[in-house]
Amino acid sequence: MTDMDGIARRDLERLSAFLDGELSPAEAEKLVARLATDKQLNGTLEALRATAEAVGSLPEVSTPRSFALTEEMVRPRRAYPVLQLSTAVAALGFVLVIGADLLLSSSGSRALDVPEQPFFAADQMVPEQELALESEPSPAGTPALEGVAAERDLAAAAEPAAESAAGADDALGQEYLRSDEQARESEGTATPGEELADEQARVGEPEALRGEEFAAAGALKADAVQETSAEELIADRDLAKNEASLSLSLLRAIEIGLGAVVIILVGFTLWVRQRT
Amino acid sequence: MDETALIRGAKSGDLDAFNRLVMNYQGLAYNVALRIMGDEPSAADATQEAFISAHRGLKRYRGGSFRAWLLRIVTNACYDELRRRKRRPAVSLDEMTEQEGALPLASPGEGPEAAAQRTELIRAIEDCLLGLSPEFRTVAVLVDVQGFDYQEVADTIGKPLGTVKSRLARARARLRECLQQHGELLPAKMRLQNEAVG
Repeated sequence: MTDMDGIARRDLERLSAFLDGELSPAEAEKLVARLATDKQLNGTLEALRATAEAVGSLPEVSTPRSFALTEEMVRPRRAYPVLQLSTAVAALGFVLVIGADLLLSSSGSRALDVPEQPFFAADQMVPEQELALESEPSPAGTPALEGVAAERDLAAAAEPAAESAAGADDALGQEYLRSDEQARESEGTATPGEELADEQARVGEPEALRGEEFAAAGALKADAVQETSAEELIADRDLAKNEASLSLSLLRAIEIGLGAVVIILVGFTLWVRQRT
Repeated sequence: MDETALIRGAKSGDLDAFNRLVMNYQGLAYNVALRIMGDEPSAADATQEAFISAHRGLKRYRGGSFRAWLLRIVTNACYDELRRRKRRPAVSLDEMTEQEGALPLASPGEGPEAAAQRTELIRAIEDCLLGLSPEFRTVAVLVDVQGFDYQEVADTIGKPLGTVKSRLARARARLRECLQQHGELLPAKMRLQNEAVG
């Protein structure tokens, strides 16, 4: 890379430093040897020397006035540090509010999503319960739950169904007894262990049927509770939505206000800084 | 009172001690500022600003060359002013050059023609200096006008010796190119050199 008279920049730097006696003795010796044979290098050295002398010939100028400081000049600037601090505090506040906004926005959207999950869960539960009820042999032959609208009818139908189920139990029980007596009469030699097993079967079967009824009634009650809690959740969610949007709009208003304050303070601080 | 005692006094709040330092260095500070800024009012403003800044920042002075420390503040004040001027160009370069009124009177025994020629040469050198970037100009002024050694220049501008060497060599090369355009004003030695190289 060349900079002057086709001389490489490194040589130009060496020549310039040589003029000022800033080359190391070894470097100076090498350069002197080159200068003895290289006419162009020698010419550039003299041109640099003449330029440096010309610049050095600029006269010393006397000062137009004294620059001594007065007490007023060195008086501490009170407004500026206060302004600086206020700007910093306002900027920090602005950043915090922005952070709070971001935090609330993200958590708010999460919070608004959360109450919807029980609805889906409740909706999902109904078919499961339908399946459960459908798979169980209903004593009254009632159809399985088909939706929330059918719940009231089911609740009303539940009592007679339970009664008819109890009647069916008795009939079934008597039939069992009859068939048991017939079996005893026909066989005549039943062991006590067998009798006990039969007794247990007789007692167990109606109890199992009643258990199924209780399960069906419990499921109906659970559905009713779910419906009520779903309504409450909707109300809660609306309330939370309103609260969240209110606090967000309040935060946004604070953000705008603080942002304006920061801009004004920064401008004023820079203005004061330039003036002082 | 020596410089160290004055600095100690100024650090402890003695304004008179600081003003004695100002008196010692204001000529140097003003001349450096004048060569960097190119006009007297700006140079005076930068010098005053530099002394005020130096007084405020005196506690940060930790020894070493006070002259280099002070001139660093002066050059920074000049750079700040040049940046401000660049953002808000209120005065044209021609006006700035015209404002310069510090040209020397004719030396004793110097004829009017020679004095006029010398004045023209000084104007040409000043113009060429102003054609350099502020960083290159500062190094050329400190070494060629004020006679600083490279180490003190490095301390003043806060750059390594290599940077000082490189900037000075390139500044001199550009000054020479610029001064060649004022051939008839140049000293005979420089003209002869131009012819030999050219």
